Amino acid sequence: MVELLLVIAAVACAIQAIRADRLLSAALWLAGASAFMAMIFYSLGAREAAIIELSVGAGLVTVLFVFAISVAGDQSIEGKPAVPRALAAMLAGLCIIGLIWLLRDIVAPAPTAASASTLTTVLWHDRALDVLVQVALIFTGVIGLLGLLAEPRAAQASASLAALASPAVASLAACPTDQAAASPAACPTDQALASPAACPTGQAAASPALASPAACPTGQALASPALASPALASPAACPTGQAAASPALASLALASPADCPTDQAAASPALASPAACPTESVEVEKEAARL
Amino acid sequence: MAATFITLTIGLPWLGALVVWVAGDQRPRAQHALAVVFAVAGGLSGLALLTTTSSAVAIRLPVGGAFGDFTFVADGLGVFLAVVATVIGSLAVIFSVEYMKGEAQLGRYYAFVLLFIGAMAGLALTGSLLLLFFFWEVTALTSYALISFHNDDPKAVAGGIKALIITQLGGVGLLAGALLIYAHLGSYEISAFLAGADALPADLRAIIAFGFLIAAAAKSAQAPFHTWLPDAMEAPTPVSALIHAATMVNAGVYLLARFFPAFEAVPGWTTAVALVGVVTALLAACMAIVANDLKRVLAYSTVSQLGYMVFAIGCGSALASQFHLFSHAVFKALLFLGAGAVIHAIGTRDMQQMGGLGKHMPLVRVVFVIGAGALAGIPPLNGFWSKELVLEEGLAHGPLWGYIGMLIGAGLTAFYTARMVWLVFYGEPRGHYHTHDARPAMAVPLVLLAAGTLTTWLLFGPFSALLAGAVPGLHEESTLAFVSKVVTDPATLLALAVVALGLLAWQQRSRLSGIAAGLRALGQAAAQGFGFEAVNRFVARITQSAATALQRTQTGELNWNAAGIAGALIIVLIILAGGGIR
Amino acid sequence: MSLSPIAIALLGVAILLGIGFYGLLVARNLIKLIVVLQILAKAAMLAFLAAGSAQEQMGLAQSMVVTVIVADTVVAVIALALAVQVKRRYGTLDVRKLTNLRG
Repeated sequence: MVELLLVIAAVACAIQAIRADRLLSAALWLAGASAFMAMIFYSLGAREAAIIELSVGAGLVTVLFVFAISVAGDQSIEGKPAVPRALAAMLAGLCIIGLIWLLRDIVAPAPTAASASTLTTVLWHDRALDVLVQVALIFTGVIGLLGLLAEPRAAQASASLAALASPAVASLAACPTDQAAASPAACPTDQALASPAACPTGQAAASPALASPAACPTGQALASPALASPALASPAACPTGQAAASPALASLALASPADCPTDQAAASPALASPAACPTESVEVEKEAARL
Repeated sequence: MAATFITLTIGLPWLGALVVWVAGDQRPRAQHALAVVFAVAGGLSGLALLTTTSSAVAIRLPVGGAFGDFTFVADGLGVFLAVVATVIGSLAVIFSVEYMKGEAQLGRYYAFVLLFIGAMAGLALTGSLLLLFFFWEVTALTSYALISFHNDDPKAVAGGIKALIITQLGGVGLLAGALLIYAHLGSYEISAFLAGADALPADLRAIIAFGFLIAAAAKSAQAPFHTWLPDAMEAPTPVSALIHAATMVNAGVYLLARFFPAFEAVPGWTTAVALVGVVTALLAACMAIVANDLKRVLAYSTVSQLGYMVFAIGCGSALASQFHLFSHAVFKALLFLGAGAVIHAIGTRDMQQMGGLGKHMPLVRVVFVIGAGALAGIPPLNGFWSKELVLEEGLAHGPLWGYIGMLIGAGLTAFYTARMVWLVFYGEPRGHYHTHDARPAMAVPLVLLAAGTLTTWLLFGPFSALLAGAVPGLHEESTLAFVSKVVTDPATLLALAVVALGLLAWQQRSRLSGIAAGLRALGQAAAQGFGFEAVNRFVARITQSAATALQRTQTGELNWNAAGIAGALIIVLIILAGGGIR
Repeated sequence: MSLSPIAIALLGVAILLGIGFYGLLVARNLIKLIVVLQILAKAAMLAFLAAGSAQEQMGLAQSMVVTVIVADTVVAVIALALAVQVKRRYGTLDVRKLTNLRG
């Protein structure tokens, strides 16, 4: 009875994870499904596996998802799926029927070789090769991760500003900036920040507006609205990399060195880039003021 | 003790690969230095292994029931190949310091070179068929990465892919054999297989034997799989020295030597091996005569000499084949590195644009002539002694047509060697160039290898002692006995006469122009690779058209790919449910 | 219903696999697809444990489940890093727009 309830709960969480509109809710439903799965594991007698699944599935993977979603943005995607829903439901239904048909006889077979070995003995003695391979896999995963998330060196050099709590922006003494808005004529700004032409700064703003003077190509890291703390500006040395700070994110760094090639990480709000500097800017809803 | 040295011999180059890669391309001097240090350390520990050889299992790593144990054995044959790989590998790395100066992406280069050296040592030292296959594949992967090192050059990429595909197809033969052995004997241990080979049913043994022969032929570039080696010349020259002298091509010969005791009873196997050796030697020698690219001539000569080694195994003498492997590794590395010095100075590989370089590069000329003399089989260089041993074994134990073929091959070898040396270093300069002699980083390996070429034949006694423990039926023989045997054998005079004939033919080539004109058709066929290249192109064309036709199924949309997988799963489920696999 | 726990677990496996396939076919967001992969992996783990419980070989079954957890977490990590990079480079996580692999 308990198992039935747990399985129904896990299936319900899985269905909700797929149907959820926002990615964050999908990740949380997945965490719930992991938790229920862990309980099912425990009720089947797999205690160690249950603990591991609970911590990894409901803990680590969920945190990973939240990380990634906060970096990549949580917008929902409109439109019809590539495979029509009816066809998909039919294929899935056929799979389920086929699997149940195959599994129908496995319900209560006679146990063949009852072995009292625990997880630890099996893992370290019989399946030692598995452990070796898993270590290699983790190693590969780390290398892959480092390679995928690496930023070009110039970006990293200046990408280490601490997150600011308030949407204040650092600015040079020579370039007065205003938090609220209003910019000197020389520094086209948008509502949040001003940056004088002389002082190219990139400002990440809490509000997704950015200004960058035409002369100073900057890449700005934008924090997505999801991020509480806005990013930071970098000094007038023009090549700036700003770490977009969400304290959770280690490197949302973007850099645009003065020689312009930048890649901007864009969280949802758009970034401004001066016309002179070819950058890849993500166009999302709000465009920053351009100059 | 042996366990430590085995770990060091394989582990130091691999650790070096990681360290050089991590050092980063911003510090090329550090990368050069680290690569040399780790390569030399690997070479030293390989030499240390020579002192502790035994046929007992040195390292045994239990990894669970399914795969047997991962074992490493330091017996004579394996240690010999490991030493060749690491020592010549370290010389190639030292040479690279000068050759690759200023090149980009040194981290990638050195990492793969060191990985290669370690993998070859592992291949030679392992006692488990599964690990043998693993290291086999690692050498294939690293050789591909190194041949295509200049990956902005389409010829290099094409050469690398060709090498990869052909050697991988051969690897299938090895895997199939290994799996069959495991299925029957329940163990991946090489020693268990060699001991219990007679227990296998005859047809199974034949399949395994020919599977291994295919794998060895593909890896060692024997006919009909020889087409990848000349195209692999696009690699940087130290890599060519590594792949074609020291390591990879020796893996196939090692495989045949190691498993010979188990397969010699298979009917037709030894004849097939000898046939492959003879055909390859003659074919490659013909192609070398008409080639104009310096490295290509050396590539064909490698293929041809490997044919000698394979032929020796076909005649039943692992000693002759391994001794020739020893000499060949030394003088071929010398020739490749010398060619590298020339190419580095001149900037082209085309021999028709060289000529008269002897005046500008005296050191390189001297060492190159020494290496070429060994290749041609001129006494008292090491190539002469080992080639004589091969020929004698062929006369004594092999088929007569084999012996005659190899004798002709020796003459052809002398001919194209003389042609190569003359075109590069003598005569009137045909191109305009400012050159300099080899700088220290290049000169040191060249001199060391030349010294080796002059002297390694003296090590015959210890060499046969080393191998006697590893290969059944091999007897130890002192150097003096061997030398006196060769010197007094009339067949030696015959061989010397043929070699002299070859050299004379080049000298008198203007007088022989009539014959040359008559052989022009043969020459053209040789330049086209005797039709093997056409076969390759045909296979490639068919694959290409099939791929183009199937391109339409690739919509690029992930959901449709997943739908494909789901559909396949449903089909499988239906088959299972219907067929009743219960 | 007098289904044994193992039967219930296997029923759960089948349904989760079906849901997972539906998700693979219908999901448009790259990160949602990674969620679906996780669901499929959980179904596989449950299948292993159900079989292990039936055969009284929990040690072996649990070691396989640990292997699956490790592998599938590494997959999730790399997939999420890839998704982040995709978003940076192409600006979209919509799977229908990411058709660079079109033959």
